[in-house]
Amino acid sequence: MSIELKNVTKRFGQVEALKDVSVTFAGGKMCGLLGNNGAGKSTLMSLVAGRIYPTAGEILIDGEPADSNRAQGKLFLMSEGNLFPEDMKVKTAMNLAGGFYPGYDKAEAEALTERFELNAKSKINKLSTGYGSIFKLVLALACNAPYLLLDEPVLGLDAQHREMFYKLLLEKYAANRCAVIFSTHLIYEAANLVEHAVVIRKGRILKDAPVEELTAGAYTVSGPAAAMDEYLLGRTVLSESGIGGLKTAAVEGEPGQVPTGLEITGLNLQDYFIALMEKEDRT
Amino acid sequence: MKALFRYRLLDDLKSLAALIAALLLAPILLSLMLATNSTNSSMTINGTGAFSTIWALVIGIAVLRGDLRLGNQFGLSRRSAFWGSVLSCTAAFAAASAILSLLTAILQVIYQSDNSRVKVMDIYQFVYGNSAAGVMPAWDYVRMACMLFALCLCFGFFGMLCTMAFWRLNKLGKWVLGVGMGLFLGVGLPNLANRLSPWLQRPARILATNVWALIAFLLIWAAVFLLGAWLLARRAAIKSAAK
Amino acid sequence: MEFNEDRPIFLQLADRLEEGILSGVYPEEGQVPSITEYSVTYKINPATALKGINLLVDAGLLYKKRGVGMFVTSGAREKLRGQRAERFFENFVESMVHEARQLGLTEEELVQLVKRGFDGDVD
Repeated sequence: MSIELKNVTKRFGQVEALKDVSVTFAGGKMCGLLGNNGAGKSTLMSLVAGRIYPTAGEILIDGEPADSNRAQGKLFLMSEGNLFPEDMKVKTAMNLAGGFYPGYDKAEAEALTERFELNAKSKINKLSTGYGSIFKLVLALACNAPYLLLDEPVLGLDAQHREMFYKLLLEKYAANRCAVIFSTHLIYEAANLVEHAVVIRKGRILKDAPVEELTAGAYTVSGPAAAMDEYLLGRTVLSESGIGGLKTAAVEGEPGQVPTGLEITGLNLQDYFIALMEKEDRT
Repeated sequence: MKALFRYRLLDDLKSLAALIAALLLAPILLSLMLATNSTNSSMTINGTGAFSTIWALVIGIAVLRGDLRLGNQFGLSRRSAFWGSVLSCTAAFAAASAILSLLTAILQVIYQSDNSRVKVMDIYQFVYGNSAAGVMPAWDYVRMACMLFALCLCFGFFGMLCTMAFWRLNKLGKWVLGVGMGLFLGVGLPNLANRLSPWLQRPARILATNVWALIAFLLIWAAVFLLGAWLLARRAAIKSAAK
Repeated sequence: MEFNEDRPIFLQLADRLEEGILSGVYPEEGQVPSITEYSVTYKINPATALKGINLLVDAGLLYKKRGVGMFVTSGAREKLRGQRAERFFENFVESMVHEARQLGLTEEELVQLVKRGFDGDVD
């Protein structure tokens, strides 16, 4: 039970958006897809959802080719664009969804619509950015598909709605054990929600590991510059910064023997990501 | 796929109802006009064929892209979305042809009397039937329905092909296609027809005398257009519509 | 309710649960919140919550009633205090005794110092 990308390359004209990407998203797990703008997150999700086709490689959903009814019927992609016909109303779309997704719960959709104060009579293309996202999120939550692909799901959502969404997503996950692939710039908010993280950079997969492994496998160390320099020798330094005679660095690996005067602290996922990107930018 | 089929069919039937209403309006208005007009003029209403083909063309142009997008959002494979759209439009075309043919028959029967100055006719009767008579024999209406159906399919799928071509082409391609088509239809085709006219005499006569030949001809083109549309649709990139 | 970055979240969750049991917030034979509730309240992945809870289950502090939920085992408080005492011994007493030996303090002198701490100097 998984989504597999096998040696997938996607080229748009001259640009290679994804380069020989092989990654598996396990069923029943919440995974964060982390990367900067243009890294290839949306491309990857569009490929899985059958909106675009790979230049090379194959995509399998539970062993079936992605572009088949059985595969596509198991997933729902929520992304920025509006794929609904012009002039279609929120209500119409919510009524239609039931005919396509066997697990769709219309009552749940209606309840969520109310909770978020979404105007069901509104035309989809007239919704604000935030409510456009909410509309799609309601569909995503109510369709009860085994694979939820969420591409920047909280775009435009105010803080309160974001909270509501995260809680609803966790409840849905706890109830269905669906797989969730979650791409977001708000890594800090998503860090505790997801079990697994895939880091993508310039079309390549950089890291593919449980979040705990990534954050446990790195740490911050700070102290006087001279002692720091000595300590850092031979270590995988992700990022460094300093002010005055003090230095701070993010390091990958085990702290090992820490000389006195240097302080070790843990690293959250967002800081880890930023530091990792800094390291990659340097090489 | 059923859900998309149902959705598209209902949508098409709604627009068909609008078409029928418009088509019925004409004879009704005319009768009213003539009733109040005492001169001895008569009027012929002739247009079911033309209007329904244009209607089919517009449907073909308008629905496919939206259906492919909607289908994808709701978890249909490209193939299912395409065929769901095509099959439901086909069903709508069949319904349209049957209904319009029937309506023409009814109207002709209504206006049959000698002193009726409204004559309802259609291209089928004009070409293949007896245009002098009012009502045709029953089988003619069946043939008329078949002809309308083939016309709808041909023009409808042509519309789909056009819409897919425009989707897949970049700006320059669109420009070239638009201008090229215009030139072809306006200048190239007549010229070509002229040039080839001696060779076209016989086929044209066959088409003009045997409705089934015309139907076959139309269906072949319909199949070609449909294939073209599918080839363009199967790997098209789905994005949101431009605002 | 934030988790800090220094320790894995499931360990921090386990700590909080233990505190709750010790302090009586979660009475023995009483029910503790479900995994979903922890997950949603703290906005953490259910798998993480499960890991934390399982630590306590493995330690015999919590048990599962099928179809109902997770409950605090009777005697959990005592068990925890015993565990903590053991940890206290390892973390503090061992090094204290070691230090004392290094300084050449006798057992009585050490006990006197400890008494002094309890009598007033330390709160």
